[in-house]
Amino acid sequence: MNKKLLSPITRIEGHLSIETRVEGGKIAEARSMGEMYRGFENIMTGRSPIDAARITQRICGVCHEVHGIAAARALKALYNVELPKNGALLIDIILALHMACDHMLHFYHLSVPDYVDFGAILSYNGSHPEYKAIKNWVKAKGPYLFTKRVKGDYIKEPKYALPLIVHYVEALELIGLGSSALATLGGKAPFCHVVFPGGITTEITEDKLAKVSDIADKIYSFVITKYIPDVMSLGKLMPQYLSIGEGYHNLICYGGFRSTGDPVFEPAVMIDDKKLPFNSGLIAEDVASSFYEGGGLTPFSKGETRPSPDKANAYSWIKSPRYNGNPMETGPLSRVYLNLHKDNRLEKRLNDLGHPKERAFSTIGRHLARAVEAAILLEFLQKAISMVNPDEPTINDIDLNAPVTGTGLGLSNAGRGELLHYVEAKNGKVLRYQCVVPSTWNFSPRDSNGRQGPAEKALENTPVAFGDGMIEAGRVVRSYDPCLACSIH
Amino acid sequence: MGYNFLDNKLTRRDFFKFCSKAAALYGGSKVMASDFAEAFLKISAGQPPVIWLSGQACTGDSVSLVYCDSPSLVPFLSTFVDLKFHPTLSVAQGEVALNVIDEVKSRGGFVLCFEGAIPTKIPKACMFGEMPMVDFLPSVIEASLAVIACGTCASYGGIPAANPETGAVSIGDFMRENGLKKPLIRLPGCPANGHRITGAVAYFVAYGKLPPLDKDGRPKVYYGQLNHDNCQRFRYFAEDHYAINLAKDKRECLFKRGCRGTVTFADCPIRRWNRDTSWCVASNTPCVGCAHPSWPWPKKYGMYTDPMLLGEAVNIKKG
Repeated sequence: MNKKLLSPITRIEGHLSIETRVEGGKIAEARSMGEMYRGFENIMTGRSPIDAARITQRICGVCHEVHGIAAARALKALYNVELPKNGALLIDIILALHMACDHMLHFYHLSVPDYVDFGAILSYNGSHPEYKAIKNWVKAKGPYLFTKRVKGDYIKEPKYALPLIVHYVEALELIGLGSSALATLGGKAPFCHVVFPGGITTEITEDKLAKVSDIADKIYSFVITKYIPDVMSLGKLMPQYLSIGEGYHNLICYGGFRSTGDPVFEPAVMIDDKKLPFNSGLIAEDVASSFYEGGGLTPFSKGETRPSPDKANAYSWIKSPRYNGNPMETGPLSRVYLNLHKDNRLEKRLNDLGHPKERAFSTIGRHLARAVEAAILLEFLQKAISMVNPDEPTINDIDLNAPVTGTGLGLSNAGRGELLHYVEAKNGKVLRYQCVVPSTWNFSPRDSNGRQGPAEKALENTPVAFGDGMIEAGRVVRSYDPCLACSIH
Repeated sequence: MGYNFLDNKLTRRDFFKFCSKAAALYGGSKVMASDFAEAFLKISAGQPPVIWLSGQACTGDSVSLVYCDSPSLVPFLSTFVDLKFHPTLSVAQGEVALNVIDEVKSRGGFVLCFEGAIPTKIPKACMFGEMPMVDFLPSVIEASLAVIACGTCASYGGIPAANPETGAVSIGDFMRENGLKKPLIRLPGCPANGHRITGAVAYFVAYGKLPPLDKDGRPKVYYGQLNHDNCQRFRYFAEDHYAINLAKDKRECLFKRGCRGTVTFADCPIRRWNRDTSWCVASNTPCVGCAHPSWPWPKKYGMYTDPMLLGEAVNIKKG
C-alpha cells in the first residue's frame, strides 16, 4: 500500500499531519491527525467561571476573539445577566469584523500560495514602488518564505498570478488596519479583554464608531472588488477544484448575528442534502480514534477530557463531534448555504461560473462561501454600528467573583464554523468545561462506527499528480481553514 | 509611508528615515536612529536567518507580528531579517519545509524564534513532522545563535503550564533541562505586542548582541516598568478613586476590579496596541497581567479577584 504521511501541513494554525493511501493516482483513504494538546477544558476545572472569558479565549490566536465571546455567551446564564442592546450589538460587531479579516488572512496568506507561483512577481513591470521593491527582493534574495515549495501546477501566467500576489500584500495591510479597528473597540488584538457576560466595558463614542465604520468600509471595498473576484478567478483557472474535495453533504449552523433584530444566519442542519431544524441536544463527541479515555458518543454536557496518549488505534488529539451520530461540516459554507433563502449570492456566483449551487461542496466552493460571507458580515456590521447609541450603556456589570452555581451553553460563531462552549459550575468554581469547536467537527478522526471526519471524507478521490500529493491534499485541507489549536484545545 | 526597502539597497540616505522608525519602535530616546543605521549598514551584506517554530501554542504571537505596522511585515522581512521558515507563513510544506529547516540548521548562525510551551511529560502532545517537538528542538537550539521566546508560554510556560498533564515548560526551562546554553530573550505577553518582537529581533540583528535585559531576560526597554507606573489612570489610584460599576465608571482606577497592572512589567500604556490605538485599561477593562510570570494566575486566585487578596503571591505597592 502506498501510504504517505504529509507533515507538517503548514499555512494553517497549528500541528496537523495527513496520512494518505494513494491508489490509481487518487487518494483512496485519508487520516487527519491533530498533533498538539494543551488541555484547556481541564485548566478551567476548579477555576472561577469568569476566567473562561480570558483563558479559553487563548485557545487560538488566529481566531482570537471567538472563544472569548463564546465563553461570555455560555457564562450569561450562569451569572444571570442580560446584555443591554449596545452590548449585544458591539459584541456582534467585534465578531463580524474579526471574522471578515480572518477570512482574508486565510485566503490570501494561507491558501493563495497553494495556487500561485510567487515567482511571477519577477515579471512585474508597473511603477508601484512597493511591488517593485518586492520584485527586487525576490530577485536579489530569493526569500525561502516564498520560493521554497512543493512541486505542483501553480498559476504562473503574470496576467492571473500578479493580481493575487499584489492583493496578498494589500490584504496584509488591511488586516493590520482591521486590527486597529478591533483595538478601538476591544483595547487590543489579538485577545481583547473587554467582553464580559453582560456586554463590553469600552466607553463608546461617535468617533470610535466612525473609525470602525471607516475601516470596515475599506475592507468591504477590497472584499467586493478583489477578494470575491479573485476566488472567482481561481474557479475559472482551476475548475477541477469545484469538484475536488466534495465531502459529505452534511452541514451544521447554530445561527448568529441576531443583535440587529433580523438574524443574518438562522440555525439549521443538513444531512445528506436534507435540511432539518437544529437541536443542540443532538451534539455529542466520540473519542474512539482520539488519544483520550473513553469511546462512543457522549453528550457535550457529560463530556470529559482525559488524555491517553498511548491508546490503541487512536491517531489524533481531535475528538469526533457528531450530530445525531452524523459527521458534520461547519464553516462559512454551512452558514451561507443553509441561509441561501436569505442571501443567495453564493448560488449566483456559482451560476456565474456555470455550476449549480451543489458545487459549493468543493475546495473552491468553500473559499467562495468564505468570501461571500465576509461581504455579508461587513454589511451587517455597518447596520449594527448605525444602531449603537453612545448615550446608552454597553454593559450590565456583574460581581465577577459571585459564587455562581448552574450551567451555561454558548452557541456562537467563529471564522471556521460554529462554536459551542459549555460550562457547569458550583459555588463559583467550574466543575466541567467543554468546547466543541469548528475544526473539531471538520478534522475529526473516525468514530466508533468507522465513519470518517468531514475533511478525511473530502480528501478521498483527490487526484494525485505531483509527488506525494502534498499540493493537492493541501488545497483540499486548507479549504476548511483548519485551526488545530482550536480543534484540540 | 516611506518604505526604505523600496530600492533593496541599504544606502545611508534611503535608510535613515526608516531607521528612525525602527529606533522609535525600539524605545525612542534610548536608541538613536543613527546607531541603527550604522549597525544595519555593517550587516547589509546579508540579513541573518530566522527560524520560527511553534510548540504548544495558539499562533497569537505570530498574528501579533502580522498585525504590526511601522515596519509592517513585508518590509520587516525584506529588510531586517531573512525568515527562512514560519509554520503559518511559509509557502513550503511537508518534506520541503523540513528540508529548509535542515539546511538552515546545518549552516548555523540563525536566530530561533519560539512560540508556545513544550510538553516534556507527554511528548506526543506536540509533534512536528513525525517527531515530537521535544526531540526535534534540541538540535535546532544547538545550532542557533540565540533564542527569542515570543509570548508568555515560551517565556514562562503560560496557559499550557497551568495544566500539569503534559508537563509543559517554557523554552528557557527546556534548555536548562537539556543542558543547552544559548543567549535567550524573553518577550512575555499573551500575546507579545508585535513591536516587542520586531524590536528585539532588530536589535539583535543590528548590534549582533542581546539588547539590555533585566535579570529575567526581558528587554528593559519593554519590561523595565510596571504597567501601573505609566497608567493614564495612575492619578485615580493615588487619589483612591476606584471604578466600582463598569457600566458607569469609565475613567477611574481599575485596581479594585482586579487590575494586575501594579505587578505586571510591560509597556502597554505607552506603546499601546495595534497602530498605537489603545490598550486594556484605556478600554476600561483591568490589566489581567498576561505578561506576568504567573499568568494565568493560580487557580485559587482567579483573574478578577482584588489584587490585595493575592497577598504574598505578588508584590503589591499599595496597601
